[in-house]
Amino acid sequence: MNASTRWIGRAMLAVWLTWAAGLQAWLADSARLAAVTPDLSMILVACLAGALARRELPVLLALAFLARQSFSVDPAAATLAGLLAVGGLVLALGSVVDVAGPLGRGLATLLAVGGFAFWVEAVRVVRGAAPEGFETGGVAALAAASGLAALALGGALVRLPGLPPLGRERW
Amino acid sequence: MSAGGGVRRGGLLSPAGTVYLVALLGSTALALKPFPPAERVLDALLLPTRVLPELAAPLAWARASSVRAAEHALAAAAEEEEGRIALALEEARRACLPTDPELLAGRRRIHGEVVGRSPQGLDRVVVRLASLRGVEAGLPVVSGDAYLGRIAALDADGRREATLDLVTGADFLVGARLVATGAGVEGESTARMVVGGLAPRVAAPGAGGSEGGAGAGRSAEDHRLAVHNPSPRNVSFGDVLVDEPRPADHGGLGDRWSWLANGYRLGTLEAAGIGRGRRLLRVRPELDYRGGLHQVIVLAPSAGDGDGEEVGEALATLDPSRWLAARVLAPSSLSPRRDGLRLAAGRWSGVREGAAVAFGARLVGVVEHAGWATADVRLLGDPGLSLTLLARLAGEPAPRSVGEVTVLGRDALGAVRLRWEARLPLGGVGAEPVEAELLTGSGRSGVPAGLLVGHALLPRGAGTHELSVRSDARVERLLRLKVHRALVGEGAAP
Repeated sequence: MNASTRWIGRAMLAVWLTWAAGLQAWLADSARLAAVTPDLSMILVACLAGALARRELPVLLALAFLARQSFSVDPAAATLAGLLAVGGLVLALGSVVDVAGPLGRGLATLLAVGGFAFWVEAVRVVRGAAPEGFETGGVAALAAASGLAALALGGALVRLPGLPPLGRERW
Repeated sequence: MSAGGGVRRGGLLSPAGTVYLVALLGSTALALKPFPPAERVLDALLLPTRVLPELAAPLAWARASSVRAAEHALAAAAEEEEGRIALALEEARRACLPTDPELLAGRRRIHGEVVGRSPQGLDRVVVRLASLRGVEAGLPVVSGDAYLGRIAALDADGRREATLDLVTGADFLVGARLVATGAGVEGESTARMVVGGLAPRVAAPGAGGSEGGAGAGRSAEDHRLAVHNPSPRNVSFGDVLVDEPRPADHGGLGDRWSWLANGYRLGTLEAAGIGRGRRLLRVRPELDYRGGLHQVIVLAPSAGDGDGEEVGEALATLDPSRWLAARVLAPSSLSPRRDGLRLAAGRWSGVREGAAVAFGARLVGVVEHAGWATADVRLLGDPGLSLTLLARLAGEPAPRSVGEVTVLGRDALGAVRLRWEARLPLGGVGAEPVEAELLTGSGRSGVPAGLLVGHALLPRGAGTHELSVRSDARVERLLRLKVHRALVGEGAAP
């Protein structure tokens, strides 16, 4: 695997992450689809964190940070901390389950999406921006929908065009 | 191989693990406790976010035609709306003039508009004045027939701005007299007293004697002025008017300008039982000093004929030079319940945190964070957004001050839910809620007065209410908006 192939893979990774975040933002902005939109951006991050070569993990997290922040009004530091924690979570989870398999991907996504949403809400409470206190309504549904989506689509997501050069050798 | 193998091989104490831990802890700390210099660095790292949303631009094509149609419809309505709010703001300016002719005699009146809270505390506000001619520290400030406080200082940089000390300040004192209810300036004094600062909170009956148990009425209950040294003490009710000695009175001990406010109302006296037969005298004010201050009048000594009222230029709410056109990059609502969007303009273009974002005369949202080349905007439905509002009630030409409201989110029908702590009752005839058009009020740096927010039914009583505001959601889907910009040196704050 030469360096230029890897760089092309990283560019494609940026495109897919941006599209996932953008699609999620446009769907959530639509009144009808807002309630059932899974966290597409985090699904892609959780699935890829278990599937890419480990040296690509910092690249994945950095690109996910930029892509997510392009479509989010959440504080940048909160997004960065949440993504770093998700990266660590998937690595830690990888020591007990196969996070490259369907069930592992689903579980990793469920925990990543739920934990991230919980964290962002906690930041809002600490900053005094949550008028009704800590509200986790909708987080469980979002995490479950995202976990199911990862279970169903995760295999296809980690093989999106341009990404295989960044994967583990067994690909 | 599992992904965890890497962790075991590298370990958290390896150089890469240490960098990871430092980044995680640092960003966590920064998320919980913002540190502006570090946020500026993050903003620089986020410069690519100005370009990345363009990659997803084709997603917007699906609704391009409906957005164009909405833009045309809203633009067509904008002219009529702008005329309507200009009229409403003019009426508001007239409504802040004293109504009693006795209160006008021998005083020059200089209009001012509250532009924000002073960083020195809630009991100080900053006002922009129509003129600085003859204005100096110590001059009293009123709104209508009600007394507000006095000028503490003029702007050091020579701008037409002054800081006011409100009568709610802990060290603020003003002489007063009690007259029979409705007697007015000519009324005979039945007691004398000193008023200033907030009265201690008194536990509501049935609240278990706990000071914090006043519940929903607590904000209204907190909003009372303290009475000091009443003489005689056995009074219970009546109107409390400012009554200060002139400079030559009391052997020359009188204040230089405070007498100009003589006759202006502080509120109505009430006596609250505090147990064991004791009473606490306090004044129920007629203004919401916390969030309901809008237009004010500075009283100065009159120099002679024709030296009456000074009105500045019309409020600059819709002055095109105060607005910057900005393109919407994308909706920004990845987290549950958040409602925002991202603009393709940031600090380099003069966008500041706290600035209003609008289309025509309609408020769309407020800038939450201004990066170097982009800005994050909280839309009206974003929970936690706080606004100061005016309300145009059906049948009343001048808008009334509603005070501060906090957005709770949107309901199932898309209406914006607002929490409103009404410190003063709305009054009027009947007990039914009244239909009102809500406009932005003064007192928020960056958000000019008079922008349309929506329509709601307002309950008439004091206390904490939840309002359901109907607004045109199409305005949040537009691709071209405008951002209010500060004049040089004016600044804006969240």
